[in-house]
Amino acid sequence: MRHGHGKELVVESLKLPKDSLLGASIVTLTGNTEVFVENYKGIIEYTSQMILLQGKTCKIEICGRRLNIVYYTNEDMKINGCVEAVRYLM
Amino acid sequence: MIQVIRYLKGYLAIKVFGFSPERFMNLCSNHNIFLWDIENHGDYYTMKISLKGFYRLRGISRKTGTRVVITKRYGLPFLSLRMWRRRIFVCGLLGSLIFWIWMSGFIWAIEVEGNYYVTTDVFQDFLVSSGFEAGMKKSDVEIEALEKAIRNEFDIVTWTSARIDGTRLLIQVKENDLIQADESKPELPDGEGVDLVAGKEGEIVSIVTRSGTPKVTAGTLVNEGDVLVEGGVPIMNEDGTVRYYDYCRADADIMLKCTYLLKEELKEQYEQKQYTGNEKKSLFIMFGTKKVKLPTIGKGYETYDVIEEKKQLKLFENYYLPVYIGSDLVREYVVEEKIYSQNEVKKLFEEKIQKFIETLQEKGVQIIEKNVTINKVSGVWKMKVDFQAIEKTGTERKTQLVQVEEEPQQEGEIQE
Repeated sequence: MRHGHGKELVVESLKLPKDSLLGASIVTLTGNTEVFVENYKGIIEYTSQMILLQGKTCKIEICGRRLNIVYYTNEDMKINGCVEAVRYLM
Repeated sequence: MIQVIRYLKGYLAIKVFGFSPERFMNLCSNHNIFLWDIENHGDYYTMKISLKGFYRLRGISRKTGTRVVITKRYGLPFLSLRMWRRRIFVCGLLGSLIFWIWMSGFIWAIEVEGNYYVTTDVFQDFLVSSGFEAGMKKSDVEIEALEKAIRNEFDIVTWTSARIDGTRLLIQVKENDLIQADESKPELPDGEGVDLVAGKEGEIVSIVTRSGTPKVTAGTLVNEGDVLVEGGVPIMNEDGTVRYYDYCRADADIMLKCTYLLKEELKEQYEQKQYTGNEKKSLFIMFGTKKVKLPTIGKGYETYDVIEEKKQLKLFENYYLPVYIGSDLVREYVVEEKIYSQNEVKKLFEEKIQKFIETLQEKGVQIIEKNVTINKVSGVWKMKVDFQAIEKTGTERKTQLVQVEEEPQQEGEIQE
């Protein structure tokens, strides 16, 4: 924990991009219809009601209805549908 | 933009089902295989994948235990595949395209505008003789040369402009409104003169000579070909003999009284077309000069005449094709035998005389008297007209005056 805190401090003081160094995922929501996710490892589960993604530090669960993956690459993905909740699972 | 690139490279719609489709997707992204439009349909997934990516799927699908089924193909690579199935159609399409492009490289119609004095027929003949005709290649048309040739050929044409408009060669000309007779005559070569000779038999009424030696006076009777004015002025020696002739171009106003004879015959009986009012129209198509007629219903007429109407086909505004469509109007007539009455004959003959006089007057002939006799001999009307006329005469001919042989040596000795 102390180690992680130290790294954060370094990144903060050097004004380095947090996402690439800390492995934090970026989730961008546009309204409740479009989700844009960067910095993740892969999909764990995908149904039309729920998409579970494996981030670098945690899992991200997107719940909703009629969820579709518009595109899906190594770096980012885009999800369309009616989003009801975004939950982070440790 | 990305859509276009995808289309050009080709992509597939696939259906993925089996043990772990999520793992399949993760592996795809790890291998940099782009997936899009992923949809969940309960127990199977549909998605789009590039054609290139699809070829790399085999290992992934085996590893994850999923099965991949192609549901639809998109893009150019498959278009050619579909084309192969319709190869005859594609060949035809391409063939016609090539045909049109090839055909548009030719001139299919030549139009002349602005010509009044030079008739279109004359113009067309000239164009053909100088190598410009319908069916020639566009690239062979030398506009500059054509314009120059037209101006050289027809003096009256003062301005020309030729241009290619689609498959049509459009020639615009401007003619000189004032028709000027070419007054300037070519220079005479040395040792040659030009006489004026009578163009017709008759009596000289008046003669005014400007150059040359007059051989006739007013009142002289001349025959055709008689010399009226000689194209040489004799220069006399002191002893009265001709020393030499000073050749020139004879020029004079000579008025000649002559007769013109007009004879006309007209049969009393004549045939007249009486149209019955029965008409038939038949359509046809003409390819170049070959005429293809559509069959008509009903039987033909015994005696008929045909009026042809045709129209050249064109594509858009000015892509003229060597194809004509048109119709023949066939009109039936019955021949009726009729006899001219005396008044009718008189009227017909009068018209003919009037026409004759008009043509004479156009040539500058003045009619001073006319004697008309009309009689009927065994069913044929005959007319004889004598015209007394005065006209300007004198046609140019090379002089037959023989130059006197000079003896300069002797003369020189005397003078010295």
